Formats: sequence, C-alpha cells, structure tokens
Amino acid sequence: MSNNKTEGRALTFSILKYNPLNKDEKATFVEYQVTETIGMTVFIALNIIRETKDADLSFDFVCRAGICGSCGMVINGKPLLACRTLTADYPDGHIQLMPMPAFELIRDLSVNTGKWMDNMSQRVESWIHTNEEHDITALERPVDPDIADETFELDRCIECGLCVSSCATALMRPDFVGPAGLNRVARFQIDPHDNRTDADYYELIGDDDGIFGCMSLMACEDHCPKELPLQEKIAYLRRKLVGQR
Amino acid sequence: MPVRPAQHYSMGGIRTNKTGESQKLKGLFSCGEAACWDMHGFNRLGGNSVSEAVVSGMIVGRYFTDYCLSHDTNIDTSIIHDAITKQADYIDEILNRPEGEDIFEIKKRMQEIMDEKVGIFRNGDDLQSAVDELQELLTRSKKASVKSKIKSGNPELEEAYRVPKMLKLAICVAHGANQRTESRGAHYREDYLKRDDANWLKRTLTAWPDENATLPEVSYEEIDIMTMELPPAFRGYGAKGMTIEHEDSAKRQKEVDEIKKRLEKEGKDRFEIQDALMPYDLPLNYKDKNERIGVGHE
Repeated sequence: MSNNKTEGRALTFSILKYNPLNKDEKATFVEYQVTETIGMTVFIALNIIRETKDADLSFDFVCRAGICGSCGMVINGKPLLACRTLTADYPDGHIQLMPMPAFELIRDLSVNTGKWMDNMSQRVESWIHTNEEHDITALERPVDPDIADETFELDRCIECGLCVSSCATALMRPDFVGPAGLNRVARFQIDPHDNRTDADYYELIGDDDGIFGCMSLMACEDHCPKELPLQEKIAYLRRKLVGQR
Repeated sequence: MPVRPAQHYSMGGIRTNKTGESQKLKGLFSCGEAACWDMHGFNRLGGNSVSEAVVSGMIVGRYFTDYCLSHDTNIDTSIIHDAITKQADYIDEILNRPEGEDIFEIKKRMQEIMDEKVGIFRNGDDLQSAVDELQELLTRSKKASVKSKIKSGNPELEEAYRVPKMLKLAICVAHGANQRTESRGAHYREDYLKRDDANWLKRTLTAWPDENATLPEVSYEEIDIMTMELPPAFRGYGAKGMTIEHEDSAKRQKEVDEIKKRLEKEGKDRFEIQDALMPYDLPLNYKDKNERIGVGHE
C-alpha cells in the first residue's frame, strides 16, 4: 500500500485522563505524539501509546475486528469503534479521544458498557418467553426464512454502546432503555418462538423511559457500526405500541 | 489491507474425561475451546470452535448440571481466603518492585518468538531456541515493575500479572511441539514431514507441579486404536504415503470391516452396528432417534 500518502505523519492524540476513584484528581487532556503507519487504526495507536509512552492509559479492547464491541469511544466528537477508525481519515493529524458518555466511567477511556447492557437485558427480559416444552428428538417448528433473517439481522447488535452514547434522550434520562434496548425488544417481537403479546411489550417499554422517549434524532442509526435499521424498528414498535395506550 | 496468518484457535485445553470433568481436579468442568475433550483431531478446520461450543455445551452442560444436583458442596472458607490472600500478596509484590523489566517489551518479544519460531512451519532448531528464550522471558517477567502503583484500572499491572501465565502457556506449546518429532494436523515440522502414528499417536499433557519451574512436566496419553470405529488412515488431505502407520491401524480396520459385514448380514441397523464398534452413552434422551422430514423417527 505504497499509495497511503499519510504514512509517516506525526499524529497528535489528545486523550482525556481521569480516575474517578481518585477524589483529588482532575480530568485533564494529555497529548501524545505517534508516527503514523500503514493502515493504522486508533486502536493500534492507543496500544503504541500504552506500550511506549503511557503504561497507565486505560482503554478496553478484545477482538480488534469490530465484533466484540469493547472499544467504543468518542473520537473527535463522534462515538466510534477505535478498531474500525483509520487515523488516515483525519487530515490534520489531530485526534481527540474521550470516554463515551451515558455509561459509568471506569477510568480514562474505559466505561462500563457491560453493566448497562446487563441492566437493559433484564429490563426488557431479553430471553424467549414460552411455556412450550420441546422434545429434542422431534422436528423443530419451521420458521419462515424471511422472519428468521429479520430476527438474526437484529441479533447482530454487538452491544458496543455507540447508539446509547449518541442518543440525546439517553443523556437526559438515565433510565431510558436506549436504542440497543428497543432493538432488543424488536428482535423478540419478531421472533415467533417468543409468545409475548404487544400488551406485554407495552408493560415493559410503554412509557417515556421506553419507546415514547425517543425523539427521532436518528443519531443511533448514524453511529451504529453494524448499520442496524434502528430508526425503522423504533418507528415500527412505536406505531404498534401506541395502539395499546 | 495487510493480510497475514495469525493464531486464532487453541487446539488443546484442560484435559477432561467424557463428561467434561477435569481428570485432575474433581468438580472442575471445561468445554468448548477451553477443553481437551477429543471432539476433534489434531487439525483446526473451519467450524471447529462453533461445533465444539454447540455440541459440548449441550452434552457437558447436562453432565455439569447433573453433577451439581448430585453433589453437596461444603467448602472450607479458609481455602478461599488463603487463595485470595495469595493472589493479593502477589499483586502487592508486583506493585512494590521499585524498578525492573518492562512487561510490554517482554510480551512483544514473546509474540515475535511465537510468530517466527512456533508458527506454521516449524523445525527443531527454531523450537529449541524458542523454548530457551521463552524460559528466559518467564524469569525476566517475574521481575517486571509497573510505573503506576494504583490497583484498579491499571493496564500495566494487569499485564505484569498475566504475561507470566501467557509465557507458561507459550512454553507448553513450544516445548510440546519441539518434543513431537513428526508432522500432524496443524503441527508441521520441516525436519519431520511424515505423520508418525507408530510413535506419536498420543496426546501431549503438560503440568506445572513446581509453579516456579520454567519448564512444564510433559507426559503422554496413549490413544488406543483397537477401540476406534474409524482407525487412522489416509483421508485425502495432502500427498499419499506421508504416514508412518501404526500396526494396529490395519488390524483394527480388518476387525471393523468384519464386524460390519457380519452385522449387516444379520440385518442389524446402523445404531446396532455403532454400538458393536464403539458404544457410548449420552445424558437424557440425547441418544433417541431423531425425527426427520418425511421419514419419521430414524
């Protein structure tokens, strides 16, 4: 990739550092210089910074490939996955990193998305609700392939939290179920294995902390790294559940 | 987009018996990629990790449930306390090292060694030098100091705690590969191109009875061809004639063929033949015949 014109540039990372457990400490931006390499992502740069400049810098990652959803952060004002963000996309070489809002801050760029997602899963009862006993040797009830596709499409959510941190309602209402939560409800609402009715879903999310809290700003869908049809699903759920009022 | 090979699956894990329980520690269950449960052979093929997760999850999961339901646990809390104290003391010891090795450098070097010397094409010289240097790294890693002395959210402390364990695993892989003077599945030796069933049809087991040692204790578990329903043979991968046969392979194949022929003549179905060749049991009704479209239960 000799045509990568930005290789060798001096990049300046300005990273918010703060340890909420240390009461005396103030949040500050710390600057780090990194020389750009071919195909460099923000994730690679962060590892270089940690290994060579600041062993104390806290950020999360696991897979490096946009699957695990651990490395969400605010990059030059936009919530993005660090592993899928190329440094070459920043022409002036200045990259500012902040932790995602709406989640409990662990330290520096680390936030506790796991805790939030756990609460959300319990809140929307993220499991198949059925009383049917299935004999494992019997044929499974067939599912229309289009409906299976639609269910699996929404199952592609990696729980990275980018949608939540870009959602204005989530920032104003800490108890808002969030785009990820509404997507989860939509997933079970489509799944024919789940016997819950619209009235049941209304009980779960039929208020301003649920489906009626969404202001349709669409930032969730703009930032979803999996390009899930969040707006369409939220609009559909709202239309369904408004009839339950 | 740079493309390169990389390790992405572990062949090997905690040695278990067929219920997924450790052979050494009662009540410790392991399944999927974390276990050495013998679902797959010595090669990593597409779909291994998924099928292992699904199949062993279902079977081992059930055995584990049964185990929990049939065993009362009565754990002396002082054992838990002692184990936690030991780890807490170890973390304090790391934090108190005034200055020493850079753990990131050690980890990076480990990655380079594993990539260059214990990768896809292996040979005795490289493997030996890998084992030697990894042992040095393990010794050095225990002298690593960390710059920040806080206990929470301290990535360098996490590395100082974990890299020595990673090194032990790397040594198990490199040392085991060095001893295994044959090529088998994903283990390819440039100096031993053939698969040697006569001498190497056995599992490599490693253990660390002395936690301060830099080499694991290696033992081998023989694999009995005479109990197999499908004895080792050429399966169409690679060139023919690259196997040093075990004498039991042909013997068992003959036996299998005879049993099959006899039972088929007696009108036995595939389940009865399976039972005669290699009987096995499963929890619940997992062995019942499955319903199939248009055929009924078969």
